[in-house]
Order: sequence, then structure tokens, then C-alpha cells
Amino acid sequence: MAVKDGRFGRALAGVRRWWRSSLRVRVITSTLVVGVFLTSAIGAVLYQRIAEGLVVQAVNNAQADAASRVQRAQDLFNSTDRLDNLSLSSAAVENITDVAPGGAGDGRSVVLARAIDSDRDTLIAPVVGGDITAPAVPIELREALAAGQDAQQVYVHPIASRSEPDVEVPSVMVASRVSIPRAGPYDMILIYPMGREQAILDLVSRWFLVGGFLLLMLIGGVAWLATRLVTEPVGQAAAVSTDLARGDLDQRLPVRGTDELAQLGLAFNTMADNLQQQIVQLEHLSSLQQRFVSDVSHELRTPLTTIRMAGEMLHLSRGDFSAPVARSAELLYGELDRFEALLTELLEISRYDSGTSTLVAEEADAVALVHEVVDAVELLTRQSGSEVRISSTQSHISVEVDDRRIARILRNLIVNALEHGEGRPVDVRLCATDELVVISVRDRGVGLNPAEAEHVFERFWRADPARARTTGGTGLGLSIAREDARLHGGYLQVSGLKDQGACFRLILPRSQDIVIDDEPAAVPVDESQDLIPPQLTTTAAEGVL
Amino acid sequence: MRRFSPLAAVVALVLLLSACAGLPMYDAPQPGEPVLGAPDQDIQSQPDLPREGAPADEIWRGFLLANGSSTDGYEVAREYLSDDLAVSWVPTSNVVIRSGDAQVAEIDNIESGTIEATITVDSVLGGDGNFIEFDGEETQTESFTLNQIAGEWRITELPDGFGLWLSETEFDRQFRKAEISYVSATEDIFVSDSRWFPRADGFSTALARALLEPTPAYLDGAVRTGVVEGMDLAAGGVPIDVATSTATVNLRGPGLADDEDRVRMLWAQFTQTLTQVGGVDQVVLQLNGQPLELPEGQEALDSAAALGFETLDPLDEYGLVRNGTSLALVNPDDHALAEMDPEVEGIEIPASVSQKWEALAVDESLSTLAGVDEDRETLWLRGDNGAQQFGNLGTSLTDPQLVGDGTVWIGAARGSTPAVWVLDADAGEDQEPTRLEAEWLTPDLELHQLSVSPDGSRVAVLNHPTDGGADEIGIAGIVRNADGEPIGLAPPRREFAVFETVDNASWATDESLVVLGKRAEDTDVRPFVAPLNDRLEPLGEAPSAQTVQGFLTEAGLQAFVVTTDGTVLTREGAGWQSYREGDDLVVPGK
Repeated sequence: MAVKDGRFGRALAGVRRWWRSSLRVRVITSTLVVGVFLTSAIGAVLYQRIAEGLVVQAVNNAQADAASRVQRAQDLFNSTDRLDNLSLSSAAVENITDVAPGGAGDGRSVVLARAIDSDRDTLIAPVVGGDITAPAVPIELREALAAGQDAQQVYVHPIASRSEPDVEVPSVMVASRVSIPRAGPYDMILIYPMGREQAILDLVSRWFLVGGFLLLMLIGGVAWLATRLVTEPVGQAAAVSTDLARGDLDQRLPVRGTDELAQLGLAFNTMADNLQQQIVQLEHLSSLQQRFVSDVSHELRTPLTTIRMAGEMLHLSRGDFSAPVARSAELLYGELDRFEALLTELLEISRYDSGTSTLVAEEADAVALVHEVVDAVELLTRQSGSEVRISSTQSHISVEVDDRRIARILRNLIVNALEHGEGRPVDVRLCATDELVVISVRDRGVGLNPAEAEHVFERFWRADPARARTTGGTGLGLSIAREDARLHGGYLQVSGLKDQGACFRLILPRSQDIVIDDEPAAVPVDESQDLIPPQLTTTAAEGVL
Repeated sequence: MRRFSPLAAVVALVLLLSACAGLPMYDAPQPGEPVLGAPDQDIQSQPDLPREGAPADEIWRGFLLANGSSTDGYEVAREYLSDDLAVSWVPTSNVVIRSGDAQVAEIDNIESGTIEATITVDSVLGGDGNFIEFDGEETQTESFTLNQIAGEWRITELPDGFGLWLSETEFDRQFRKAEISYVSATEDIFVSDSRWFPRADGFSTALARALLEPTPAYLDGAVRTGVVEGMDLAAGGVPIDVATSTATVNLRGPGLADDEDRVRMLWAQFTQTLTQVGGVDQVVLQLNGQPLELPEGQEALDSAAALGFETLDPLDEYGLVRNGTSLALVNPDDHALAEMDPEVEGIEIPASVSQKWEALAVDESLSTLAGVDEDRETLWLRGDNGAQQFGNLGTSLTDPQLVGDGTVWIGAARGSTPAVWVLDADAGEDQEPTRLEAEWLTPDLELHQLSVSPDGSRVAVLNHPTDGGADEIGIAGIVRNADGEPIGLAPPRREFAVFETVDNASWATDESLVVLGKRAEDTDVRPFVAPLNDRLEPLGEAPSAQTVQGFLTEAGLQAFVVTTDGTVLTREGAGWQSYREGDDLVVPGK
């Protein structure tokens, strides 16, 4: 996984870390986000319903009011007794004043104007009652009335007043047709500003916002409280787990009540008890095993030394024996070596199993170490007919290792390569980064198939049991090599192809302060990659300043 | 896919929130409730509009024809006028009813754009609603000016005061008479003033306006009204709710909070006046936007009788026929004036009366008689207190009248000035007769006859001008004091100016007189029924007619003529028939 560079990437990474660092943060944040979404959606739907309801109510009231006023106006016009122009105009003004006076806070206005489809001359100038001008009435309303005279035409639309021509107020406009003697058809438009409805809506929306905010606060608080009820015990469990991991096996979770958290606490404590018991048992077993190893080591070595001495004596004196006896003496001598080596390796494995292996890491030069090992197996190299080629990206690679163990690993790898190399060259390649050292041993012999590669580090496993062992191996070498690598915090991997050879790769941190985060990818088959260190992330070991 | 779900939700939320920008508006006007609109117009005449290219005389004739259509305020007639004249012309300001057929008049001087036309005037209806009838020889010549406007002839100038020229038929179709109701000075009975109004949708409004106008001069002081000075119609008219047949009068003006009597009168007058309008069954009254409360708390009134107001038009059950000195009780409902037995009727009538006394009058109870001597200088009374004589009233005494309130009315010449006297029939000879104040009774008038209306609110005065002019009949209101006693007479309104000679005139009903008179076209006096402010109804010629009397019976108005031959004539068809003899026929109370 690659780390993204740049400020945004770092910020994003910071956010991710913060997000992952606390369950409470995640729960509260998620709850607030969902809460915001839901309250906004619900608030929006309610707001729209209320707004629609207010408009419908205003329209219904306006229609009913306008119907009665228009009828009254028409009755007044029908009863007009004076039909000259001046009297008609006066009557129009008087009628409009009587029909639509509008109280001080009413805001209702009325416009009486000649119908746009009238074929009569204009006998009466437009009459306006209220804070409105005749041209402010939308022309589409007048046109709709001309098209449908038998019914009111209702239009909800903003309209500007005479006193504030730049401010348009949403209003219900109801237009009706009246007939004035001599003057013909006239439009009577009653305008009902919805200032009060708008004020109600504004009030509703303000309180929706306030209520929504308070609701969110409540949701957040509840979420905080709920998560606290969960995360506190979880935190306690984590702290106790940490103490347990550190070795304080007596730590337990406090258990209160009988709820799920109490049950979890009980189960945790039971688990801790069992673990403590097993660890104590294992420790006891380990100490037993340690003592056994030590005892066996001591007890076996003593007779083994005696047997070895006797065997050497016999081997030296084999010339004095008959041929079968001499042969037996040789066999005895050879097997005693092998027995001792096996014993040593078994004890070594035993130490790994019991966890009592110790690492004595000191600064060393990896390149020099490789050379030493190659020099030590020179005889075998000559015998196998292979050539061991050493290549390194650097002449000197410092690494903090237990050189004895690393030498053992290298010796094991190189010997295996020579044994299975079928006389072809064996390459030992070194490369390094600031954090890693990579040593690969590649042969071109019998190779391994993927199934064999999986088993190769198992104890006593041989790819070909019938294959002759020229160096008297015990079958534990690669197992021990991998454990040595692990002890250093490194990795020992293998890959290969049948009849094309195998490549063993040892990856070590350059100091014990460095921890390799993840297991490296498989060893590349292509040998050109041998001198290219794999991309690995490392971290500093805990407790390191 | 998981990545798009939150995005879709956010987009949906943004769209949802974007709709929260305020009150939703309409994209376009929407139809609403149906509108009832103006009522259907009755069938009316539709004269032709001006023809394009018509000559001046055709335009002028077309204008006169269009006078016959009042639709939309004489809209068609206005098309024949210039624009300015069309705006200023008020048709109902002066209506001339012409006699004759459709061929209107002689036309002179047509070439110059001026048309002079002469018509024979039958009668005239002034803008004040007063109707004046003329004799058949009255002509009127007027000048109309026409000019070409945009290539078309139009009338640009009408004669001064020109309103309408109508035939009788057209007039009857366009106008009707209605009663404006006032209240008697002494009682809760209506006194009507008849006027003419256009038959138009504004009839109810016109009636209301007429009622709100000041009391006519001839009734000033003689009647009461609930209308207060400054009171006016708040709206432009008096609308009629067709569904409930209710006329709503919305007044503005001074309040009437504490004056219950005035409120009652106002309700009664408007109800009585407006229920004459077709389609009005009840009236609602509002003052300054608030309902005017009725004493019983009703919201509307359908009859003034509910408030105790009534129209008095008493029937005449009996008549008295005088033959020499004897008096006979007769039935005016009978064409032959059949005699009635007083005992059977439970009435006591005077047995006889001396030949010395003429121009008999009798009260409604038939117990008191009045008369004058042949010199017409002494008033004689005979009642419960016995006989009384009054010789100091003056000369040329008129026929006395015993009125329903127990008073005796008589006119006299006091020196050179006419006088009207009122006496108490029961007060005796020592009483001080009341001379009524009447500044208009000037020495140039000769008081010939007085007749008090049946409701006691008005008096018909028959004057013979001393300069030899036409006899005049005037109706004057009786001014009474707080106790209801007559103290004066209001200036009279002249009626029936068409008469040249009037021998006698007396009330038949509260709204009509019977008159024995002669018009220019008549050869001799003849009887007429004369409705106030209306055309005369000539009754057939009655030779040797001396007086005419009118009785109001269940069958209606019955007129009888007493001849100089000592016969009483009954109307039969278009003529008269004598069924009995008699020197005089007396209507009790009249």
C-alpha cells in the first residue's frame, strides 16, 4: 500500500486516523449526519406542506370573499340610476369604496378597470382602492379573465404596492367580470396580500431551524451518552487487555449488573482466567522443557563424548581390524558426528519451541559475513562443481544481527544450493535499503514446484528422500534457518521452478529498532530482481526513542 | 454503487430544501368560483345605429327614434351625438311627450346643418319628476345643430334643456309614477308625493334618492320625515338581492341613536316607498355601515304596517242627496244612488235643511251639517250644540267642509285678500276662528273652493285669478302645531295647469281629485278624474253639469254629477245617465 504524498493526502490520512481512532467519534458523527439529513428532509417536507396549506387556505378565503364582494358590486351597478359619464364614474368610486374598503391592517386592494376585450369606449377611468396601481396587475390574469369570464380567475403571484414599488409581496389575486350599464364589461380584481401567511411561514421556518438544531443537539447528546455507556467498558476492556498482554495477568474487568456489558465482562474475565491458567501452565511446561533440554543436553553429551572418544579410538585403530570390523568402526564414527549434529539441532529447535532462544545482536557487516560462509564451504563448492558468485549493491552493509545465527542461515542456504545446484553456478546477492538487508541465494538446479515450496521449511521434510546427502543434513536446517530469521524480526522465503532452480531470500531489518510491518511478497522468479529490495513498510519498534 | 447512494441522497435533500424558499406561487391563473354576472336584460327596443354616410336629416330622425330606447342609458341615441355632447347630454332632465304619430315634426333649414323642428306638446315631465299636461294646441319649436365629424354627420348642439322627445307609448314604456312616502304631521299615516321615474334598473336607487331629498315645498311643515339633513346613500345605489327580494339601503350621515321615533319613520318610509319596486318584498336599512335596529329587533321589514304606519284611504259608505229641504241617505256603491233607511243603518241623519242654506257639507258621522247663505257671507253650522252662525269670516265664502278631525274649513275674501278659516264644529259661536297663515294668498287670487284631503294633510285650493287668467288648482300642505291644530298652509304646487276654467274641484281619494273644468279643447266644462301629478282622465261630457262629486267605494272611484236641472248623473260607459233627482249631492267628510 502506497502512502500518498502532499498536504491533502496528509490531511486525509489525518482524518482517517481520527475517524478510526474512536468508536465514540464515529458513532456521534454518523448519528449527527443521519440526524441532520433526516431533520432537514422532514423539516423541508413539513415546510412545504405548511406553505401549501397556507396558500390553499388563503385562496379559499379570498375566493369566497371576492365572490360576495363582486356580487354586491354588481348589484350596486345594476341599481345605478344615473347613467351619465360623471355619475357612472362617481358610482364606480362609491361602489368600490363600499365593496372593498379594507381596514388599516387589512392590506386588501381592489382594481376596477375596463376589460381588455371590451368593445365599448372607456367611460370610467380605472378605479383603485388600496395601496396598489392598476398596471401592477399581471396581464396574464386579465387575459385569463377575458378567456373565461363566467368564473373567477385566481392567481397567486407576487405583486408590488404603490408605496413600495420595488418590493413584491406574494398575494392572492381574484379577478371577476362585472357589467356596468353603458360602460360595458369591466374587470374587478381583488388583491389579498399574503403578508400574514408569509410571516407565519417565516415563524415556522425559524422555529423549525431552532427545533432542528435542538433536536440535533439532543441526538448528539443521546449518541454521546449511549456510546459512552459502551465505549467506557470497551476502553476498560482494552486497558485490561493491554495489561494482560504486558504480562499483568491478575488484571480483570469490573463487572456490574447483568446486562450485555456485564456478560461481556464476565466472559472476558473468564477468558483471562483461562489464559492466565494456560500461560502459567505453559510457563511451567516451558520451564520443564527448558530444564529437560538442559538436562538432556547435559546427560546426553556426557555419554556421547565418551562414545565419541571410543569411536575415534576405534576409527583410528580401524586398520587393525578386519574389514567388516573396520567398516563398522567407520560407520560408527560417521554416525556419531551425525548424531551429535542432530542432537545439537534438536536442542536448538527445542529452545525455539520453548521460547527460550536468545538473540545476541551486534553490529556486523553482511557482505563480510557472506564471504566468510562462502569461504567456509569452499571444499563443498569444489566438490559440487558449482561456482558461488557473490554480488552486492554495496561493499559494506552494516546490520545489527546475531552473526552466529545469520552465518548458520547462510551456510544452510548455500549448502542446499550447492547440493541441489547440479553443478551450475550459485548466486549470492545482497542489496539493502535504509531499513532492510536482503540476501538471496539462487541456484539453477533441480528447483522446486510450488507445492514443494510450501513444505520446504517443515521439519525433517525432504524434497527427494532418495537424494544423496553429501553433507549429512538432519532435515531441520531450513526450519532452524527460518526461526533464526524470525528471531531477528526478518523473513526467509523461497520460490522456484522445477528443474530450473530455486531462490531463497533472507530479509532482515538493519537494526532491531526496525519492525517490518507486513510479510513481503513472494520471491520474484526473475533473478534480475534479486538486487532490488522489495517495497516494505517499516515502523519503529515500541519503546524505542 | 455504494458511492452513489449518499450522493443521490444529498442531491435529493438539496432539491427538497430548495423548495423551502417561501409560499408557493402559481405558474398561471386558475379558474375559480363561477360569477353570476349581470341579470338578463328585458326585451327592449333596439333602434338602428347611425348608418355610415347617412345625411344630416337621417341622423336627426335616427336620433329621435333612438330616444325611444333607454337601453344602457340611451346608448344608441348617444351614437348620433358628437362625443362631447354624448357625455354631457342628460336625457331624463326634461321629457317632452308629443302627441301624434311617429312622423315627428316639420323640419326646416336642413341645408345649413341646422334643423328646426316643431312638435305638438302633450305634456312635459321635468327633471324634478313633476308632470305637466298641456292642451292640445301647445307647440314647441327647437333648433338642432349638426356637423360633420370624420366625414359623418352628428348632432353637435341640442336645444337648451333638451332631454327627450317621446310619444305617449314610448313615455309609458320608459317611465312610471311612484309615491314617495312621508308621514302625516299628526298621525302615523303616510302622505305620498307622486313623482315620475325612469323604468330602469336604477329605480330603487332613484326612489331612495328622492326620499333623501328635502321635503317638497308644498308639503313643508305639513308632513314629517325620518330623513335627517346630511343623510345620503353611502354606496352608489340601492342593490336588490334577487334571491331574497331584499333591497338594502346603506345610508351615511348623522346618527339616530336615541331618536326611536325617527328610526321608526325612516324604516316605515323606506319600506313603503321601496316595496313599490318590482322584485322588492322587504327592505334592509343600514346607517354608516351598521344595521339600523328596529324596535322589535328585526333585520328587515316587509311592511310599514308592522310598525303601525298605514295608508289612510277610507271608503265612503254613504252619501246625502238634497231635494229642496229634504235629505236622503243614499248608497254611493249603487249606480242609481239607491236610498238607504237610516234606521236600518243605525244612523241618524238631519231630517231637513232650510232652503236658506246652500253648499251643504256633512261630517263623516252625518250628525253635523254646514252650509252658507246665498250671499255667501254667513257660515251656518248645525250639530249637537244646535245651530250656529258665523257672519264675520268675510265675503265670497267658499263651500264649507266638515273634516274628520271635527273642524270646519271655509275660505273667504277678507277685504281684498283671500283667507282660509278653520273652526271647531263643536266649540260654539263664541269661538275664535283660526285664520291660517298663507303668504301666497295674495289679493290677485280669488279663492273659489277649498277641499281638505281625506288624510287631512293637504288642501286643494281652487283660485280664480283676478286678472282673468286660467283658473288654478293648487295642492298645499296643511301646517299644524305641536297639538295637531292647523296653523297655516305651505306654498301650493300647481296641478292640472291644462284647465282654463275650473268650476269645482274636490278630493275623491288621497291621490286624486274630481274636477269640473274646461280645457282649451273642450266646448264646456266637463267632469274629470284628476290624479295628482298625472294626466287627466276625462269623463264623458255632462251637459248642465253644476258639480262633480267623487266617492271611494269598494268598487273604486265613483263619480256623480249634479246638474243645474236638479238631477244626479251616474256614469254609464262613456256617458252619463240620470237615475234620480237631486239639487245637491254631499259626500260626508269631503
